[in-house]
Order: sequence, then C-alpha cells, then structure tokens
Amino acid sequence: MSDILIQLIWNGLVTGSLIALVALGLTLIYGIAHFIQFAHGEMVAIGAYTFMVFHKLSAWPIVPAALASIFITIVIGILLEKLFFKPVREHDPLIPLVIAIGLSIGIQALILIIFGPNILTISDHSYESYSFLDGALLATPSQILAFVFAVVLMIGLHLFLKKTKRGKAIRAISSNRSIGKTFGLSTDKSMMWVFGIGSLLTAIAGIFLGFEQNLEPLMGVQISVKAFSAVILGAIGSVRGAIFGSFLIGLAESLLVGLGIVASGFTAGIPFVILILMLLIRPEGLFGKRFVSLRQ
Amino acid sequence: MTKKFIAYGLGLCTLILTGCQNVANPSGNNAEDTITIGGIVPLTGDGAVYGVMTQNVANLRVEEINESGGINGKKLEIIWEDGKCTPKDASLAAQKLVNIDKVNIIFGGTCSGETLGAAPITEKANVILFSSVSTSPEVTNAGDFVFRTAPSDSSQGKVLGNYANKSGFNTVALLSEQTDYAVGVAGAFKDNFDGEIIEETYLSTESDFKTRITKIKASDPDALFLNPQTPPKFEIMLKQLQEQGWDKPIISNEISTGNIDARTKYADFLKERGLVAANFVAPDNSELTQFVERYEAKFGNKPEYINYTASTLDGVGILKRVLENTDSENTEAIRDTLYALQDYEGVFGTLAFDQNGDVNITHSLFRFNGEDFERLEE
Amino acid sequence: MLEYLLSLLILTTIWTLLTQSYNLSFGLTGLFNLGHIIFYGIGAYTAAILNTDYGLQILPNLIIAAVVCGIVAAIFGLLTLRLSGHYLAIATLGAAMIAIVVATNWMDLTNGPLGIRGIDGPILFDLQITESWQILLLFLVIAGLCQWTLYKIFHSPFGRLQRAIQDDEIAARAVGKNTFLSKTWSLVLSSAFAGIAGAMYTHYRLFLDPTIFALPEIIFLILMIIVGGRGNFWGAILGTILVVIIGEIPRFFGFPDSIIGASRNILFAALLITTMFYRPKGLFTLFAKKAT
Repeated sequence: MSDILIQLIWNGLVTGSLIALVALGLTLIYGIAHFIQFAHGEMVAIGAYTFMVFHKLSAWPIVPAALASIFITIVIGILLEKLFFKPVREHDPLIPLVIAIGLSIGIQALILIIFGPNILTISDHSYESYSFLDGALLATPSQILAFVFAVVLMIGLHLFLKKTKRGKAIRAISSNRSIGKTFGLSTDKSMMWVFGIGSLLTAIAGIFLGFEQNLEPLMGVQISVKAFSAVILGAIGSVRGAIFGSFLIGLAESLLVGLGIVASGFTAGIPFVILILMLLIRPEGLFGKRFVSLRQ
Repeated sequence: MTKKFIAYGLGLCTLILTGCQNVANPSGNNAEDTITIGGIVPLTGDGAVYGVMTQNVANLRVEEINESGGINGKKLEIIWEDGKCTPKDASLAAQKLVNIDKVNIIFGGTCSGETLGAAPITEKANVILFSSVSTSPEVTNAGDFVFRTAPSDSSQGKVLGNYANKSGFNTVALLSEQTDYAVGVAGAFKDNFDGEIIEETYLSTESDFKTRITKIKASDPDALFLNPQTPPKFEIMLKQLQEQGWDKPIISNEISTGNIDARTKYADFLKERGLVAANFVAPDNSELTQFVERYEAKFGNKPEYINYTASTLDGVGILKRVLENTDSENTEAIRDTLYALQDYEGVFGTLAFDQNGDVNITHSLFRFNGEDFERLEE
Repeated sequence: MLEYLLSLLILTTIWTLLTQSYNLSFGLTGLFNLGHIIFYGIGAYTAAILNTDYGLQILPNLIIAAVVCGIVAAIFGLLTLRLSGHYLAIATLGAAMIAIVVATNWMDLTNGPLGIRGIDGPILFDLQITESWQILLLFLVIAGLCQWTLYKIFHSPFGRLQRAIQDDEIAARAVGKNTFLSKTWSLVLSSAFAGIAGAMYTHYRLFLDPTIFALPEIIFLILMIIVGGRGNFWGAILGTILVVIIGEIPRFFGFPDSIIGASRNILFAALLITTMFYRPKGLFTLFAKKAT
C-alpha cells in the first residue's frame, strides 16, 4: 500500500501542476478583468498544436520549437484581448464571459478544420521512466519537467507580482481599477501583461499535455473545466488559492481513485464534487474574503 | 410591438421555407437512372479513423460497380452523413437521410452507437439499416430492418474469456471505455471468464490513465485486458503502461489489430507482453488483396482495418446482389430477400443472415509477433 | 423535405420551451446557472424510465417529469443559491459534469452509455400519434400552454420581484422581501418547465443517452438565450428560432460533411460575438421600440 501511495501522490502532483499552469492564468485574468476567460483552455490547445507543427512536422529540436510555440500563443492571447475583450472592458462582466464562450467554440472549430479530425501525437515513442526509491516511484522526464516548470513558474509569478513595478501595478488595478487609474497606472498595459503571462503558462501546459497524452481539438476543455473548479475552490482572483485548488484536485483524483475509495468511472466528476462540497462550507472559496460574496 | 414581432417572424419563416426548397430541388428527382442510398459514418472525432476508411472502401467499391455497368444499368450513389460515433448525431443523420433524401437503405452506422441511435428512426420508416462495422451485441435486437456483415462482439468477448481461462489466469484487470461497443465486449468477457476481474473504467473524454494503471499494478493481476473504443486511446494506454513498467501479459479487443501507428511505435513492448487479440479475418483471398492494392493506389495508404474492409466489401456486394433482384423502392421485399440470402460468396466465404440480421462470422485469436498478427491454433 | 422541416419545427418547439424556461431563472432573476441542462436531462430520463419500465405515456410523464425536476431544483437551489456570480456559474457547470458522469455509470437506472431505446412515441388515451404534423400540433399545444403560463409569470408581481432581485437584491431585501425564497421558487418553476421540455424530447427522439448533459448542449442553450435577449419573453423565442436557422445553413449550402459541425460552430461563435458587441441585450432590441 505504501509504495503505491508514493506513486499516486506523484501522479496527483503532475496532474495538479498541469491544472495549476492553466488555473494561474485564469485567476490573474479574473483578478484584473473580472470575468472567467472561458476560452483559456483553447490556449492550451493552441500551444500544443503549434508545438506539434514545429517539433514534429518541421522537425525542429524541442527547445526552439517550444519557444516558438510559446511566442505564438502569447501573441494570440494578447491579440484576443485587444480585439475581443478590450472593447467591452467597462461593460457587465457577463458580456466578456459570453464572448469568451464564443471564442472557445470558434477556436475549437478552427483547429478541427485546420488539422482535421484525427487525433495527433507529439512523441513517437514513450520515454524511459526514471526509477526512484527502489522502483516505488516511476517518473518520466516530461513529468519531472512539468512539475519543476510549474513550481519555478509559480515562484517566478509570485516574485513578479510582489517585486516588479509592473507586478505591483497589476495588483493595484486588481484590487481597485479606478484607484489604479487615479495613480496613472495604465490598465491597457497591465491587461496585455496579464493575458501574455496567462498565455505563456497555458502554452507550457499544452506542450506537456501533448507529451503526456495526445492532441485533439477539444483537448483544452477537459483541463480548463478542472482549472475553473480549481480557481473557484481557492477563491477566484487569488494566486495562492489557484495553486492550492489545482493540487487539491490533482491529488484528490489520484488518491480517491487509486486507493479504491471512488470507482474509476467517476473520476471526471471528482473535481466538481469537491468544489460543491467546499462551497457549501465556505461559499467565498478557501482563500476568499468573507465580504466578496456581498460585493457581487 | 408583439404584432410587429410576429410579422417579422412569419416573414423570416417564409424566407427559410422558400430558401430551403430552392436548395433542395436540384438534387431531387433523377431517380430514373440512379439508386441513391444513405450512409452514416463518423467523419469527425476519435471514431473518424473507422468512418473515413469505411467511406473510402464503400465509395471505391461503388465506383467500380458503376464503371462495370452499375445495378441493372442504374448507377449506385451513397449520400454520406457524419454520425460522429454518437447515437444522437447518428439519429439526426438518419432523420435527414430518411426524410429529406428519401433513401430506402442506409449503409451504416459504423460505431455501434450510431447504428443503435439510427435504428429507431429507420425502423419507424421501414428503411433498411445495413452496417458493415458495428459489432455491439445490442445491435442483434435493434430491429427487423437492421442487418450487419460484421460479427457480434459476444463472440469476441467469448474467445478472449476462453483464452484467459485456458491460459490459467486467475485474475484479469480490465481497462475499459464507457461506450456501447466496449461495454458490449466487456460484458461478454465477464460472462465467459471464470476468474476474478478487476475492472477500471473511463469516459471517452478522459485520456489520463496513470492512476488507473498504478492501481491495477498494485492489485497484481495475471494479465491486463485493454478494451478501448478507438486506436488513439489504445496508443495512450500503451504509452502510459510502458512508462509505468507494465510487465504482465496483455490481451486486447480487435482495436489493436488495425494497421495503426500504435503497434509499430510499441512493437517491442507489445511483443514482450505477448499481446493476444481477438479478431475476425477473411481467409487469404485474392479479391481482398487486389482491392487493398487498388485502395492504396487511390488513397495513398492501406486501409487501417483489413477486417472491416472485408466486411464492408461484402456489405456493398450483398446490397448490389439484392438490388439486382429486388425492387429498390420496396424495403419489405429487400428485407425478406436479405433474410432469405443463403449463398452469397463473399470475401468471408459463404454468408447468410440469421433471424436477427446477424451474419455467420465468428472471431478467432491472434498473437502479435513484433510485426504482424499470427493466428493461434484453438 | 417536408418531413425534415417538420422534425426541425418539432425540435424548435421543444427548444423554445427549454430556452424560455431558462429565461425565467437566468434572464429574469439573473441566476447565472450553467447547469440548467441538468433539468432538461432529468426530465428526459424520467420520461424514458417511466415509459420503458412502467409503461406510462406522454401526458403523465410530462407532469411527473415537471414534479421530479421541481423537487431536484429545490434541493439544488438550497445547495447553490447562496453562491453568487461566477461562483454560482462554475458550481452549476460542475453539477452538469457530475450529471453526465452519473448518467454514464449508473447502468441500472440509465443503461449507461448504451442509452435507453424502445421509448414509445406520443400516445394520447390509447391513440398512437405517428404522423409528424400531428406530433408537431400536439407539441405546439403543450408548449403553447407552458409558454402562456410563463408569459403570465413574467408579467405577474412575482415576475417583477424577480427582475427587482436581478437589479438590486439588497434593495429588494431591504423592503422586506425574502429574496432567497423567491430565487428558489424561480429556479423550481424554471426547472419544472425544463423537465417538461426534456420529457417531450424523449417522446419524440425515442432514444436517450448521457450526452444530453454534455457541454455542447449547455453552450447551445446559452447561445439561444443570449442571442435573442435574456430577460425578454419574445427574445427567448426569437433567439431559438434564429439559432436553429443559422445552424442549418452549412447543411444546405453544400459544405463538405467533415466540416459541417465545425463551420456551424464558427457561425455560432460569430453570432455570439457580434451580438455581444452591437446588441449586448440581445437581438430582440432590433425589433422592440425601446429596450425593456
């Protein structure tokens, strides 16, 4: 039992890392723009597909292909903000949310038309797993990298928000947009940064997801609904909360199913059962402030 | 305000009505020299690999039939619709084919769910539903006008269950997709295997099996039965199994036997685990080999599933034979001719349908030798 | 051709009722409940199970489906209505995800992925209705009655209270209204009508499987209500009709089979985004003299 526990925890951490990479962007965007970027999952698919184009079809080595794919995803993310979200920034938050839903189905359809319905893979082979603790833990290079990247990026994001001028501006605008304006902080630039950072994180999630699983036009949906659940769990807008929520979901899926507490057919429902139970206890999310629910 | 609204609404409705008619008319009545039938296959999604292949095989065969004189001088034509491998989309497709295109025969569906979804529509309209790929045991009782030239999975689950008994497996882990096809195979396997079964299931939308594999490994079964609905899922399973160092025997449903990438990528792994799969195959047959060559010349690759290629060839062949001797408008006569058919010589040998519209073909076992499948002696 | 048009009209009738029911809780009360499709699904499954296991026909099934959905909605409301804004949206979206998982795995009740087959078409007092135009007529009567009831609800004091809650819940509370109870009632009524729409769907489609709860269905529903205009009685009807028409465009203009679905979604995306840009209250404002 104990040796499977270590493997299960690792599985949960890897899943949690990938969810967190998506959830962080969602929570940042919510913090500053006050809507749920429903099309954020599609940025995962864009990252994965562009990486596949460079790495597999054009046979670029992994690192330049990954950089190119991240760059393109960032550009698309910023463009989406400029074209679709900026014009409705001052409106009812329902409007950008509905636009995001439209973008989500539109991007999925475009990927389907461009790349066809067939399921594609990035790697033609599996990678030899490293064995730790006398074989009690098997981890592939891509899993280890995904976890390391997620942790490094979380720390980096934390430092960016706390230490840099731009990060402080983003936090100021998040807590109160009009005060930010009074102090001459540009909302436009901060929005650009937030969408850029969010797209960077999802592109990385997409590349790792491509290595772990395979590419299909709807690949962003499954992970983004888990990320929605994670950000709400931790209190939307909160960076700490998103990280906590993501790992909680990853570990819960892995442990509840792996230890036989929940039948495996129910895996896809676990994140939401946890979410709903948690909201019954704390309707404002784990890291939320009590007054949040009143303000809305 | 309300009145104005209704006026606009009515105007809009008229617009659509006239619009639809204009578009629909051109494809209308040239029934004199053409027999038009419908087709339902998955053209998008995970199931597209079967759908596109089935469509290609049927289209090529129909093209050949038409070039060599058609059916009593009439050309055969298939109108294809995307069933997306789901019952719901297939039932919408069937509705369109039956009601708009007025077809009397629908060739399909491919996925069992498609056939099961389309059957209530076609039964109600007395339209023949003729599948060459659907293998779920449920299709057996789907209706009086439903026929198929692929064998039921009850025989697939049975041969695999018997194999597991004979190999002395006491426990078998079952990794199974929650779709009608896979549930059908799993059910037949459970009925026939005497030992203990550890079952792990997943929804088609999931592709992370890591935790299920960890759990299966911990329960230490004698073998693992992979029961996916589509090749992409099979490939992901293999990847994650190899990463977690799976070292016990693997058995699989026929999905693994296709001409698919997954087998080449994981050839060594599968050979070492002694992959045994159930499949139905045609005896060496020159008609089939020649057809595969023509297929490759036209589409640039070999058909992914040789067994379904064969059953689709037989399906089109049987329809041609029946349409030559029966009024193509009289579906009850076509149905009766199909039930009475006894001596059709196809790729699979002499074919006949039983009282449920099932064909007389069964599955056998095959072992993967690192390059190809070899038949196991029973 | 006529048959297909009739089938499209029957589905439109059902969907219009579904959208209108959503319009009550989402449009009028302003509950952003992304899980409305759950009640459509529960209504559909209730009718399917009652019909195949207990031999009940369409009329009792419609009523029982409404009651079952109402009860489930009351419990659902107690659990979720304390939440607000995006919390409610994602929690209810999650509930829909749970519904699809349960419907797929609970083989004994729903027959899982195999779905429920062999459901009877509409039978009224031992009279089997088979012709499509008759079904359409029957459904128009049923849906018309429901729509009329909903219209009355929209324009009743209860309806005005719902609108007040959406505009300013705290103010409504301040004048002594129990807003939690009102919101729960709105959800219960709205879900009961969704259940009726679901039961109608079952008795028309004659096949039911768990995909009725899937995400594309949820998005389709949002599309219909947003495009028409939420909170406006006629907006919901206009939105449904418009979406059905636009959805049929790719099929009739000779798009290749493999991209019909995708091109339809692109049209839907464009429709949704342009509506939000130019008529954020919905396209009914194009016809109304002043936006209500």
